[in-house]
Amino acid sequence: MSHQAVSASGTDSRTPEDPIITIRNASVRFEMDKGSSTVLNDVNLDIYRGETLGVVGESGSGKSMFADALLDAVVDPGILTGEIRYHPEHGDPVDVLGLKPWELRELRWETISMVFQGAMSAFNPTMSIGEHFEETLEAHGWDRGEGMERARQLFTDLHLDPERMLRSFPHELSGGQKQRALIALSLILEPEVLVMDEPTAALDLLMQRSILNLLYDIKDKYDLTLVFISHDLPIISGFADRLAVMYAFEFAEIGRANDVLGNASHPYTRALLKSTPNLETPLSEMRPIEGESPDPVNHPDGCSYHPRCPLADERCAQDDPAFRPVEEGHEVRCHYWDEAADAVPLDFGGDEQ
Amino acid sequence: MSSDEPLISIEDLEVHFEDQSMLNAMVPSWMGDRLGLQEQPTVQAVDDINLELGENDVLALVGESGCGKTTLGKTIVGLQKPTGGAIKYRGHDIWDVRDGNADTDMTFEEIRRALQIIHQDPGSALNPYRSVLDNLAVPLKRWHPHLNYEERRTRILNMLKRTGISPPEDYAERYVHQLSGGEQQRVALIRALLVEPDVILADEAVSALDVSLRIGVMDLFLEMQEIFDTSFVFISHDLANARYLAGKSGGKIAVMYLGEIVEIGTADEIINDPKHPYTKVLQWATPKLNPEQAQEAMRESPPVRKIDIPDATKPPTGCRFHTRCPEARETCREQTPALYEDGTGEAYHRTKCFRSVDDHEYWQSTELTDDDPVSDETASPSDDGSVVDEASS
Repeated sequence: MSHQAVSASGTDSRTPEDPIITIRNASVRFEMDKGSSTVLNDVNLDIYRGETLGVVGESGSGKSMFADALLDAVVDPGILTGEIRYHPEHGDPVDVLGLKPWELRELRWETISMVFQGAMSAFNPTMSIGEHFEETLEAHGWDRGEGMERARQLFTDLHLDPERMLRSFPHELSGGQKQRALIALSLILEPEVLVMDEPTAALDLLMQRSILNLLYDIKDKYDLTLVFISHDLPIISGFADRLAVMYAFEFAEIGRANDVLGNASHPYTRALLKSTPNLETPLSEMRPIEGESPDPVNHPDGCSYHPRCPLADERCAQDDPAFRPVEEGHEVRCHYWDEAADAVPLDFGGDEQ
Repeated sequence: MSSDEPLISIEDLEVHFEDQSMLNAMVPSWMGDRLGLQEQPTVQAVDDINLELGENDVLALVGESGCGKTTLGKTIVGLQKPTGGAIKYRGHDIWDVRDGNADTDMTFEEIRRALQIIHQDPGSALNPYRSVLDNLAVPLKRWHPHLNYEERRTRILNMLKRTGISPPEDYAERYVHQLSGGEQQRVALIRALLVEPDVILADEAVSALDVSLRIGVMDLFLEMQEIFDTSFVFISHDLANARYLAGKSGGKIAVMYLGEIVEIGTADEIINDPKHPYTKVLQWATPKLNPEQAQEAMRESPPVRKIDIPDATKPPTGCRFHTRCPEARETCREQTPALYEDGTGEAYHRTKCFRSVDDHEYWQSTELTDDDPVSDETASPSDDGSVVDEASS
């Protein structure tokens, strides 16, 4: 598992340093009777134009809160602080948290669109799929004829029969078809960024993978930046250009997908990979992660992973590590990242050294 | 009850569901045609299944939503009555015993107790108004009425401790919503184990859990299987989970498609030497962790000709997979393959595909393509309003 071999294979034709969204010191807090609960903890991240960013974390790691924060959609009484900027290709950056309600509404569909968790119930059961598209176009004052033409094209690109889909009611569609229809709807107003929060989790594996394949194919055609949020690390391996691993409401490791998978440097990322059922790893190598994720009210001092980490010592218990560079574009928040590979060995099978 | 009798045996099993909606019953057939109603739409949920489950055995049923794996699982534990064939528990036909037609002193109660189920969503399978202790006391009161409160409590606390829930005294007083998903699943498992069953059906019991918790819960299943000598039938859409359970326990994996078993074998045979084109599709769909392999899989299109599963009320003729199979030929549309044995004879591996037969006429027939007008006849869900996908999951 040498660094050089992995980085060399991870060449990328895009210019990676052109951010479309920048997130600085974003935090979300809920004030409750039993104390203040921090569900997003001082997060910093750049999302690059045209990339597919995978955000991975277990239940309760704060990944959905991260998605909500991107669109200033945190529910009351949550308090979102920090800075989130959208950078249009031409013109000045937009301060998302300072937008007026109508500006925010426009941004949410026409610039950054979102497919939420539990998308199965996103459609109105009394309206046909076609009416959903018409309603959306009208509400935003778009030309209906052109818009519906675009809808037909989107359906075709997602392997759905346009005429039949527009006529159908939600209950007449299978889960996989509904999910694809929803993706088409979220793209109808030509957004630049599509944020998807566990969009495929309720579907079976074959449908999940097929949808990812379609997204992979249409992404360039529609000039999209994709942010894909999931608890399922393996499902987005191969799909995402970059991966950001969340643990306890903050990022633990960020880097090119190849590097984060092939040269995972945070003990948590490695433990997560080791605990993932797959077809290649020898059965005896798979292990669950010991211990439990921290509670948002009682955040541990120091590194939030130290109570579960095999490398943890006094320093980890007191000192919250900052991000350190592992290699170009690959950062990790761990004091002992260079020992992680020996502490948590991994074997994915295949031709890796 | 001889000892070499399999615990469960299934012979030519068939479960068909009929659509008995009022509209279909009332409208005459000539009018139904014009209205676009299907004539007596029968969903062939499960067809032509022959299986045996031994003591202390593990069987993993794998397939897409709507492939009939849940229906088959429920039939195995006696919750679904077959419309054809037989399901036997220790040599006695379960449904004959229930109807009093069997020549035995075995009761249906005994059978029901021997066959237990764990559901997909443990949160809704447990009573939210009762503590963990009260939830777990229910099966003990039912099957061990002679136990007093203290004895029940001791048994339950022991089980909690054994399944890694500690401190048990604390957890026993908790309510379902105060448990994590993994803990809820443990409690559901304990509830099934408390009546000392012979078989537990676990229906997608780990797929709703976080990826990082799955191994832990599966390890627990395997440990309990060892301790209690219980057989498990494990349903999953995820080949990786099936591999883990069947691989670690020396059990089998059965791959299902549209109600039929298309391939069955040991974990090693199914994972490392898949023969059926559909098993290869499932393998493609199972994500790779190795970054290079993962990217390669993403660049490839799915190895099927159509993404969506056909309507189960109108399963394709011949081999049911032929409308999506990348290897399909003329023969596949006309003839139905049997579950052919692996050539070596030693292995258990069986495949329902003509490609397993070296000299089959399949090899001489012409390939099917999507331009073929006939393949459109055989109902892909894009031409009708079916909701097969989710229906049975």
